[in-house]
Amino acid sequence: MSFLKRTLSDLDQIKASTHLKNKTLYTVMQKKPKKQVSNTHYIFALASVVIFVFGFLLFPRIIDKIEPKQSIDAYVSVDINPSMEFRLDNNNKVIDIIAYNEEAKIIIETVNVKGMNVENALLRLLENENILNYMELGYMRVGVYTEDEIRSAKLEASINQSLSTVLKTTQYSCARASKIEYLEAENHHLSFGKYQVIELILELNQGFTIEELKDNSIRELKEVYESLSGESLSSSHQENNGQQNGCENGKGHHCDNDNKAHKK
Amino acid sequence: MLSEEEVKRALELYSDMVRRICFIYLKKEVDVEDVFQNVFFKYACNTKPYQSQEHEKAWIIRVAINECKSSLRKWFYRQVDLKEDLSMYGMEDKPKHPEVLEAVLALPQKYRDVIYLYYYEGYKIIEIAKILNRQENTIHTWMRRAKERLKEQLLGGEFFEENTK
Repeated sequence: MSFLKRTLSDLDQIKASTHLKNKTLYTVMQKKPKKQVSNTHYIFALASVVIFVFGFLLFPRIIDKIEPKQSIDAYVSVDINPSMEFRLDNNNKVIDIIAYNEEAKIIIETVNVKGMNVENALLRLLENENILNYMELGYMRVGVYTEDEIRSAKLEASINQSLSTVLKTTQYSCARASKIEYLEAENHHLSFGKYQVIELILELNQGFTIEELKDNSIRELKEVYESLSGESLSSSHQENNGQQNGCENGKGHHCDNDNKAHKK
Repeated sequence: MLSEEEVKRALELYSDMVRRICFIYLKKEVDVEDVFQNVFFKYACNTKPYQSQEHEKAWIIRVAINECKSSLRKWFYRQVDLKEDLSMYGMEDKPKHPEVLEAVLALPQKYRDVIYLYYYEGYKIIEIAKILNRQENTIHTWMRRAKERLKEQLLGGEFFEENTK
């Protein structure tokens, strides 16, 4: 018999008193069950919702007045096994999420992060059971792209800071992407974060192709990269340039200024 | 709604179990009465037949856990930090290992559920997954993490190692 089982046998002492049972019986029998709502009520409620929704769909001007169109200013890719991209407004709030594979589609259906700022969205993602299961042996790669380089650097630093509160340094990395990388990734229907890692591998071994590598998880790509380069993916962008520009944070996570992929 | 005899039968069979679930979740005696009433009222209103007594028991466990969680969501719990006090539960005999019991009670809710249902109620992982409406892998993960936390808490693992063989 296990130790925990023996210890929990102390719970045998916990019993409901006669007073509690009698009081419960009395109270339960005094209460009346709530009236069952008839099907007509449900049909009426459903019809009201449908009319309301169609009203908004048929009259877009109403929607525009209530909710002005938001423009996408920045992109944050997230790759583990699920591969997705957060699209952000100028306040770094998530306004859309794109899935690049089936695993990501499932996650997006269960985790609602729209409207959250991107740091909190990532933390919310990391609370999801499926993501936690992936992260058991997995690795998270976050990519950041905006046209404004200063904003990119700030976003990268704040995401690193945020992830360091819940993940070990060996479990993730975050790096900025260039416009070329972003556009090339789009051409290959990949998240740009994943594309960056594939590019690093291709620089070391041109025997691989993007098509061969694109279906691998980030962990698998990381292992390929590290076996070819002999260095950790997490530190692959930690060059002197990062330190000179003062964007290395106290925990030593990398900031990327001139990462190798930019040489392309 | 079920008859008084049927509700009385359920109280005789399951009230101790519901009381134990309240012990694991709640910190105020007054909330135990509310939970009891809600659980057995829902039982009384549920006229769908159960497939077996085991099914009935699992149903009550699920409702009791949900009622305890609802109770904990009240604003009061968010404001006040109530300490665990084993003596308020009227245990006549002192627990043999109070530090272990307190360590279990200090676990996050979901880990406590799994430890209680597995080690005390004797449910298998797959049964616990059905009761808690989670995937089996999730329950395995919670079980592992619960044991890791208990190991860390209980004298750096030596106490736990000696006694879990």
